[in-house]
Amino acid sequence: MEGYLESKVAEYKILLDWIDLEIQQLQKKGEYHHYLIENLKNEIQKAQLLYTQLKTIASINVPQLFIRAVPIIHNLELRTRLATHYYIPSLQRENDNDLFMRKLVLLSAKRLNLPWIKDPIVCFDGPHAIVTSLIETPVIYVPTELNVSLLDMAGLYHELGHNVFFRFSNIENDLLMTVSRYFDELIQSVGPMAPEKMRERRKTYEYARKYWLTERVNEIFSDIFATYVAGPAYYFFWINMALSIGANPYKINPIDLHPPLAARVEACYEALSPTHKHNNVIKLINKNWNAYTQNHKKEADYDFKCSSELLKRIVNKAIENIKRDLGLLKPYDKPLPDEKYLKQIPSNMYLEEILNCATKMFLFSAKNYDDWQKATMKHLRSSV
Amino acid sequence: MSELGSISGKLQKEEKLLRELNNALLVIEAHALKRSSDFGFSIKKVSECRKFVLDFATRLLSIIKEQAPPAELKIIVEHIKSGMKPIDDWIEDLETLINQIQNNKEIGSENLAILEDIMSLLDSQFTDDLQRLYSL
Repeated sequence: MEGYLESKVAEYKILLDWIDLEIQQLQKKGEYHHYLIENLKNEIQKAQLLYTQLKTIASINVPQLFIRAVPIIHNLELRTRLATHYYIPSLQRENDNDLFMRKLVLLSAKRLNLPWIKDPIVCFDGPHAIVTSLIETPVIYVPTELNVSLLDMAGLYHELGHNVFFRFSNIENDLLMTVSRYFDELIQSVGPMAPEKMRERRKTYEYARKYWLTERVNEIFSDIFATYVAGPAYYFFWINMALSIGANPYKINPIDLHPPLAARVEACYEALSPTHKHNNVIKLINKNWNAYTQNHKKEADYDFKCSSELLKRIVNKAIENIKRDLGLLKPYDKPLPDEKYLKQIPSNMYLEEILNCATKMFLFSAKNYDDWQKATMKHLRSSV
Repeated sequence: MSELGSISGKLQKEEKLLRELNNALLVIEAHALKRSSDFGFSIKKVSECRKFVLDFATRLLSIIKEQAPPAELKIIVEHIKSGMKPIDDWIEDLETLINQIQNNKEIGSENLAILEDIMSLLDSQFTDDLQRLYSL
């Protein structure tokens, strides 16, 4: 440990000095991101404190304290990784397209009552993803096709959902509690049966309860949030993606931290506003989805782990949390535009409205969609 | 869609508890070894860290038997429940640690052993998630 600690001290000195220099250069260069850079500097200062502790442990060479060095090293790994892999490269290569998308994100964040999102970076380097470590200044990755495709923009709301999930820690607790209570009730409701069978049944429910890790709860919450705020546009985006993936929608992959596709679709449908649940767009999407799912069999434990009743409870609790924590945020319940108005280029519309128009246009007027989308994208770029 | 959103936020939360608990143990242990001045730790800092450990142990004790503990302590509670060591022994160890701090007694290594177990658990969860972040 002794020699290794000294080596790690030398390694982190090089890294932290480099990060410091890069941040200084970005600070000189940028007209944007003052808040983010200050935030990043604060984080690096915390890393410097950890580095100083590590250096002291290495230099005084008291073996009883070596054990304290290990978590410090792991902490430094995370902090340096965030800076060197996500923040600094995204800031260094930020271009006009990224800045355009950043403006859209900031406008949406303001409208959706997410005021803590002060200074995001958006980076065209797909797939859709977000680094939520610093919730006020997330790094949001979007696929390159968003330069030309409105439909895929709906995926942004799922990523914002991750940010909301970590902003309010009660969401995680409440959803995990909902899952836990559901399985408790199932265990309690087991009627008289042979002890061996009873043990088996309990084990099955316990196993199903443990399936719902924080990460999976987070993913399904982000779907619910995205559907709540973007309505049919997200529902279509998600089903379109699920159909394109082409996997068994009921497959429960123990390594994948996303719930099965079918469970996510069901949760999204539950989260749709009643205004939309039975409109012709949703009917058309569901018709395609149902035809697809009919070709696949449910895995044996799907109904245990992802029953409709459990998903309904998760959706209700998630929406209850959204209403409580983001009181001013309204669900997307605006009726979709009538077909005769579809070809108009939307002006004075906010992004969620435009994406819902795009969804309807795409599904009901595909031959006109390309020209409409180009014109709409041009309008959007000139108006933000 | 990537797992980056859920992993990066989770790591940030785990990092906070791991850093704070490790820091408290470093301050307390350095004080016990009479090496506080090497780190620049003041007596006030030692007292704050004892308070941190007291609050942490008290909180853990209050939720140890809950079916759905708060998310950040879930892994610890699940480990306690599923491990070889009886849950009553954990409770007794936590109560002893709390009494030592409340009665202003030195915290010996035998009292800190329970926190070392918890640290090792938190660190192991953290590094699992860190590896997942590296693989994305």
